[in-house]
Amino acid sequence: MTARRVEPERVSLRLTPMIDVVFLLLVFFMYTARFRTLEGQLGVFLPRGRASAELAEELKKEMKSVTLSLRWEAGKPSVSLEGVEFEPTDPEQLFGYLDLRGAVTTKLLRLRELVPDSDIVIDSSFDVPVEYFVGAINSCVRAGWKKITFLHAFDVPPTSNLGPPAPE
Amino acid sequence: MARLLSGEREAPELSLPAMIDIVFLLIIFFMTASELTISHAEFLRLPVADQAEEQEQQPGGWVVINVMDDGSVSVRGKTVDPATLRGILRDESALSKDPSGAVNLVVLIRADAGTSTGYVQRVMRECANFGIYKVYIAALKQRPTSLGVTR
Repeated sequence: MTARRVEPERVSLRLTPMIDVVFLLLVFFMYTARFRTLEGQLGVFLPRGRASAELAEELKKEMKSVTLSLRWEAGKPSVSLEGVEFEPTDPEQLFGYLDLRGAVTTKLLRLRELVPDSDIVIDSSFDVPVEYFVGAINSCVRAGWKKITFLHAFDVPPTSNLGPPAPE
Repeated sequence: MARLLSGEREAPELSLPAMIDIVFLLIIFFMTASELTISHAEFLRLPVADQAEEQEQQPGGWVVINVMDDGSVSVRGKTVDPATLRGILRDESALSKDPSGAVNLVVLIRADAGTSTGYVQRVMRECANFGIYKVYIAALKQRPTSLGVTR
């Protein structure tokens, strides 16, 4: 009796299902991909031990502050800086994100030269959109103001009926 | 040569190894470049501020508070009411206290560009109530393009 020689089965890689799975993975990652955007931060230091409004009043009395007021009336922003009114259509025009041509920034730079050791008080009403609020802080930082105080940060009255209802 | 002369057409052939190489490279690219879960960051339209600084590691840790378009507040992927927010800030500020009793916690407020400033100010007020004086407001350093990539 002669022994039959058993041929070992050839191991083969099945490409078709692998490509299916790989394509599924590719499609999954392509759809769920969310690229990181360049996100930064603007530092805000809240005054210790006393209300922001109190500090703002104190600075005002001592003539050590400049007030930047932000209001939102009939769906439009109105900004005033020490009595000078600005009525911009968009934050970029007002604050000039990418250069120094922003109307407020130019004025802030002039004030900074006139009263170099002063603080700036941002007095924003409840319903001003955040982009204007952040634009104002950004302009102040760019113009060299380091001490920024918020008039309503601690004592928030819902000053206008135009905004959404308060969550509390 | 003989095949060419006889007019036979060569059957087009898919070069599988090359394709698999490229597909694997694409997968690796998307796996490494994408963020699948960001527990703290909600999809928000952040305001633009070219003076915004890069994020730095803070020794006392971070609490990221998202203020959505409608004024609702979200922390760690969950919408929270004012009482819950106070609870989180109280616990986190207590944990971050150093031996001298100073609170080292830093709060990052990520607010939608279209939401009312008053909601952000309320969060700031709550922070100050718990002795958290270091607050940052998130902003994009450059205006985003339609693809969500900054330019």
